[in-house]
Parts: sequence; structure tokens; C-alpha cells
Amino acid sequence: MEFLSRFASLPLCLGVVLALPLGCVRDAPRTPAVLLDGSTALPPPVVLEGVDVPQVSTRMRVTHDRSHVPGLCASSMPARARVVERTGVTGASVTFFGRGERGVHACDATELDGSRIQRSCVHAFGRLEGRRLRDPRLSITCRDDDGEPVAFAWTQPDRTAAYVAVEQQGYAEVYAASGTTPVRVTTSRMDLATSRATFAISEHARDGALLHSYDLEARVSG
Amino acid sequence: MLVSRTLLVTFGLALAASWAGSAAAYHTRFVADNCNYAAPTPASFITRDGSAAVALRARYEGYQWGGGCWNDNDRDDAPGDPHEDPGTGGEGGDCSGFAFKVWREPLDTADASFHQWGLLRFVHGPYTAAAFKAGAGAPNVTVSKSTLIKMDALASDSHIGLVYAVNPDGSDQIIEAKGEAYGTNIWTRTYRGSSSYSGVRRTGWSS
Repeated sequence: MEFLSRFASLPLCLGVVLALPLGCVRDAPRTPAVLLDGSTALPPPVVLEGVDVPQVSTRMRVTHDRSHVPGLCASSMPARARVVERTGVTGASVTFFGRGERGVHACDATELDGSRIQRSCVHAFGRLEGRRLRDPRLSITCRDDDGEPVAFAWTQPDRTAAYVAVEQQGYAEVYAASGTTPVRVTTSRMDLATSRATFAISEHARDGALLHSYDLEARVSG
Repeated sequence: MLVSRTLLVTFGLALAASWAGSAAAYHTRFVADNCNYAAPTPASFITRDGSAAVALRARYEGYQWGGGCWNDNDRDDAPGDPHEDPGTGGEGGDCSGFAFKVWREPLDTADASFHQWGLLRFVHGPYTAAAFKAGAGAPNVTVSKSTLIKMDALASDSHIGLVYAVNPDGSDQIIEAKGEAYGTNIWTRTYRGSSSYSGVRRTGWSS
């Protein structure tokens, strides 16, 4: 009996022990369950080396359909341009090369109508020199549903990169590379007072192997 | 003999590496030595003529990609910056930073009030030329090009200039931060007739 009474407080102790980590989980940033278009947020098809937080695949679609490009960008789009649509957790974008491939255009958005951008919050244009952008063309004027700003910029991954991961608060968004088209990525890590943003990026091979990682420091300019 | 040749080659390589390093990391000290991050002064009575006067103080100063700080000595104190490099620390604004400061806009894009920024306050603001062209931000709207008046703007995907005066032939005198090779000045332009350019207006002027 005395032996049993020793265990009388066991449920309480177990409750405390279980509640502590649950409490921590509640306060920790959660891995997003859905993308901006309402679709389920899935992990990438391979494990990305060196990315130590939960990973969420962004959705990519390549099209030549002009109706996928919002009005703000449509006049800049050459006929039959290859349009790369991307949908992430807080932002979506379309990217395409301009006439003569002398520049690249993007329309960024933080809300969608179904799976398409109907109304873009900003248009970005970057000049190309030898197919390289000299500037990542940071945009910080878009805001999410809570009124928080979302930063967009291009990164140009190495030719051998199949995936680009951008660390967010408690998770990483993973973008599939698409040929030589710059990848429009988002972050909430920005300093509005200096109009700058930092994108914590890693590039990965098709099997997930880490190629390199870097901080892309971008400033609003031009 | 072998030792001296080795030393010569080593010295040559070191010299080349030093030159290449400095070329790749071009930087001036204009921003570091002169600019500040003082808070702007909110203002309630702002006129187009007042903004024209602010713009004229940037005339003959430099151009800096991503920049937003200049003095008023009528010369570029940091000439020859590499273009489209925001980290060189040179004098001047770029086109959109110049428009932001002359239009005396706040950093919060949801706020349409007026803020006066000191000449030497390093600030670019949240807008690119393309964002201005789209009328992004609470203070800014797109307007028909035929209605543009003094201190309205003409903006394309990659440039913005402010209307300083309209010429009798319909062209405009545009005050703009044009580029590293040109600096900031007034030029006669035909942006109004170009399909690449849209009309943009800063709202809320007192007169």
C-alpha cells in the first residue's frame, strides 16, 4: 500500500512533464500547413543537407499563358514569353524575361484569386548584363493579411543547383530552380528604416547535397 | 638567381592581387564621413515650389545607386562609382531615392503624410522606379500624363524623373538623378511622349 501511495502523484508529475514541452511547442514558430493559394504545404522531395529547420516546398508552374500575368506586368511581357509562377507561404510571383532578354520582370503579390495572381502589389524590373542581374531588385512594399511587410528579391542560383532554400522564422521555404530564370524569393527579415532585407539562402544539388549557402543582403534601389 | 626570380614573381602576384582586390571592393567614405540617420521632421504645409527648392539643392551633386545622401557644394564628392552597386558609399541619390526625398515621403508605405529629410540624412525609401510607376504606396497615385504639372513625375520600369517645367514645344524640363556618369541635374526630356513612361503624382500638397 505504501508502495502504491508513492505513485499516487505520478499522473500529476507526468502531466507537468508533458505540459512543459507542449507549452514550448505552442510558443515556437509553427511550420506552415498551407501555401498562399490554400494548397497543402508539402516537404521537398529530397532531404536538403544543412537545412536544420522544417522545410516547405513552394509551388512552381511554367507557362506561356498571358492570362497568368497580372495587368501590372502584362504590357512588359513579350509574346510567348516563358513565365515562371511561384507560390510560397506568404508571397507569390511571376517572373519572365523582357524583350531581347535584356532584362527580367516580376510581379509580386501577397494575395491570390484561387491559384492565380489577379492583383499584384508591385512590379520589379532588373537589367541583365551577360545574363546576370547586377542587383537583386528588392521590393518591400507588399504586405500580408496582417499588414506585415513581405520582401521579395531575385537570386540567381548556380547552374548545378536544383533547389534554393530560404530560411524563414522556424522553417525554410524551398524553391525548385528553373533553368536560367532568376528565382524570386521572399523573406520577412527586413529593416524598413534602411529599406534593406536579408535572405538566408542555401543552394542544393538534385540529391539535396549542399552546394553553398550565403546571406543575400539587398537594398531598395533604382 | 632562382631565389630572386621567385621573389620577383611573388611580388608581382601580390601586386596584381592587391589591385584586383581594390578594384572589386571599390568604396568611398562619403556616406561614412558625412551622412546621418536623424529622424525626419513631420510637416503639414508642403508646397510644390518648396519641393522644387529641395530638388534644386541636389543639382550638380552625385548619383549613387541605392543612395540617398548629398551635400550642397555643387559637385560629386564621390565620382566614378561602379554602377548598380549600392555598397560603394558615394554621394547622391538614385532616381527613386531622389524622388522619395524630394516628395518628402515617410518610410511607412501606408502613411501619406509629409516628412522632411535632411540633405545629409542617408535614406532611399521603400520605392523603386517601377513601384512609383505603379502608384505604389499611400502617398502616390498614377495620373494621366496630359495632366502632369510641376513636381509630378514620369516613371518607367527603370527610371523616374520629376517635372520641373514644361517647355513650349511640349517637352519637359526634368529634374532627375540620372546616372553615375551624369549625376543629378535638369535636362529637357521627351518622357511624356514615351509609352514606357507613366504619370505619377504625390498627393496631399498644400499648394
